[in-house]
Amino acid sequence: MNESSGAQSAARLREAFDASFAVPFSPADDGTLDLLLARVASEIVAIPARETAGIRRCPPLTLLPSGNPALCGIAGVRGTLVAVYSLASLANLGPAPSSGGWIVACAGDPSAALLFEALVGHARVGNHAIKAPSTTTGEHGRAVTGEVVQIEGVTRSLLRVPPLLETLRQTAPGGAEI
Amino acid sequence: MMSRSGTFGRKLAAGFVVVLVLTLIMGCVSLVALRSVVEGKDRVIQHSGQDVIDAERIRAAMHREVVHIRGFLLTGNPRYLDKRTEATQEVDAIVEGIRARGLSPAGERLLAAVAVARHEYQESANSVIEHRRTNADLETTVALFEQRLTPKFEALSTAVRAFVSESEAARDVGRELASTVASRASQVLLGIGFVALLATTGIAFVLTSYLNREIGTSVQHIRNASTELQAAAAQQASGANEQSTAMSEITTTIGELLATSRQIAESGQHVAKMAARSSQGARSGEDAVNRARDAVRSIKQQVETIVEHMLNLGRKSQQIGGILEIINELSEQTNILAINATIEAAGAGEAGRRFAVVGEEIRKLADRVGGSTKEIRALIEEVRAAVNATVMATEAGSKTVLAGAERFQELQDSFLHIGEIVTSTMEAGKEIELSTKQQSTAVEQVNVAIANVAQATRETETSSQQTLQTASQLSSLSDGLSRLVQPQS
Repeated sequence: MNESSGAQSAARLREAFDASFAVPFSPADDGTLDLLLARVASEIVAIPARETAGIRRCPPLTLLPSGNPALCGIAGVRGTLVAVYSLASLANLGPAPSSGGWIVACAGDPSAALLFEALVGHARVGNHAIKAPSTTTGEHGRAVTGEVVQIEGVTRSLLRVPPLLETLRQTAPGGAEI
Repeated sequence: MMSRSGTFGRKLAAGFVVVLVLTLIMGCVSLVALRSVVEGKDRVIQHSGQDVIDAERIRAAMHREVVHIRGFLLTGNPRYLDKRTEATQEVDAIVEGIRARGLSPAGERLLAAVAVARHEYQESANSVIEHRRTNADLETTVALFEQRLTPKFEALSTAVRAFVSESEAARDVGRELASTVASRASQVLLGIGFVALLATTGIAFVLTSYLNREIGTSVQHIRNASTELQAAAAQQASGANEQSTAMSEITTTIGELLATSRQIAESGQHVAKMAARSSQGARSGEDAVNRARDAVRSIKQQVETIVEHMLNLGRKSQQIGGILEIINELSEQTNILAINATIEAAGAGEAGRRFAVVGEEIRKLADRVGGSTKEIRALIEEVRAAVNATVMATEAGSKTVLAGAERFQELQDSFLHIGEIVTSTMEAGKEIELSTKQQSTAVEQVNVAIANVAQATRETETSSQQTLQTASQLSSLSDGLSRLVQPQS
């Protein structure tokens, strides 16, 4: 990066930033979907942002004896006690991460959060990019089952949060609240 | 030969000494004998003869005294008494002279008898003279004279004659004694002369025999020596001739050696000049090396400065990387916040649309910042890699410069060593030049000495020929001398 290219990049950033103020407000459902790209068991999966209540680094977990192998522990988030489950375990992608990572709060159930290894980024795709459940070939030639999404030419698994919560409810003893 | 010659000389001298001693003894004996004879004769002449004369003088003086007494008695003239006194005093003086010379015991006794008789005569004469003075009677005086004086006078005359006889006898004895001494001296001289003649004859015989024997032996030796000398002289002449020829060859060789030494001296001088030039070049090279070493030292310092700056740049890059990490972290956190804002906005439904836009823009901005930080990180990594590569290259260059400095030090040491060697070479060249000059001088001196030796050899050759001739003459002379000494040979 020389001085002229840096200045040009700064100019482009400034123009894009200024232009963003001219963009009209889009309707609530404009046919796009915001996705969070997360690394789960060495696989990058997409999580719909609207199905989450927030994302943050995983706070210190307090382990609890439980028959649910996906339960990693409980943690305090914004004054609320949250049960943290392993996204990899719930999605059958692999064992739970041993330590650290990110948690994403689940929309509609503020007492549950999903633990994954790393936040890769954010993506906005059209609805057409979401494919029906089938067996396809994902990144690195791996077979991907379930709903997938095409992001920048790469097929990734799309993990819906409500089905995961439903799975938790079903596996909880007596169908109690998780 | 020297001892024999010395012995010969001593023997000859001893013979002459013996003859001389005999001659001296004979001369001394002759002198002693002559002196004894002369003394004996002188004693006879002076003592005995004088005694006889004095005895006669005493008798004559006594007669004059008697005559004067008679004259007074006859005339009564006192003048005769005075003359009588003179005569008396003359007698006394003669007697005193005789006694002063010394007398034999018999002569002393007779002279004492003469004195006694004379005293009696004097007393009688004085009484008669006193009578004459007192009595003028001549007859009584004559009678008294005849009575008193005549017997006294006869006694006195007898005593004087006896003394005269004794004096004459003593004179005769002395003369005979002197004659005896002279005769004995003549006999002694004759004996000594005979002994000297015998000794001289014997010495002459011994010396002649010795000389004949020794000279004959010496002549034989001289003859043998002259023969050997002839052979040696001939051999020496031949050797001198060969030596002269060799000296000529040596002179030629020395001349060639002298020319070679001069060429070596010129070469040594040329070497010294070349060494001096090389030394100057070495000093110039040493100066150049010093300057180059200073330049290398300056380069080393510059490189160290560059390395320091590069390391500082690396540290600054690390700091920038740290700041970039902060920025990246901020962008990620901003992105998280933007994502959370988007999530919140999506959860807010229609009310969150505007907030969703802002959050989206913030997320995009955070993404861009993240992208930029990645680019900057990549650039910083490139810069750090470049800095590391530069530092490594600079350190390698520094090491190379250090090695170059060491090489320059070695080069300087080599130049110093070369300078020392060149200096040693120059000194060696000078020494060679000096030594060769000295050698040339020595060779010239040797050449002169050889020429002198050649001249001496020629002279030796001539001398040898002369020696040969002299040896021949010496042989002839020895033959002649041998014939002179030993005619039968």
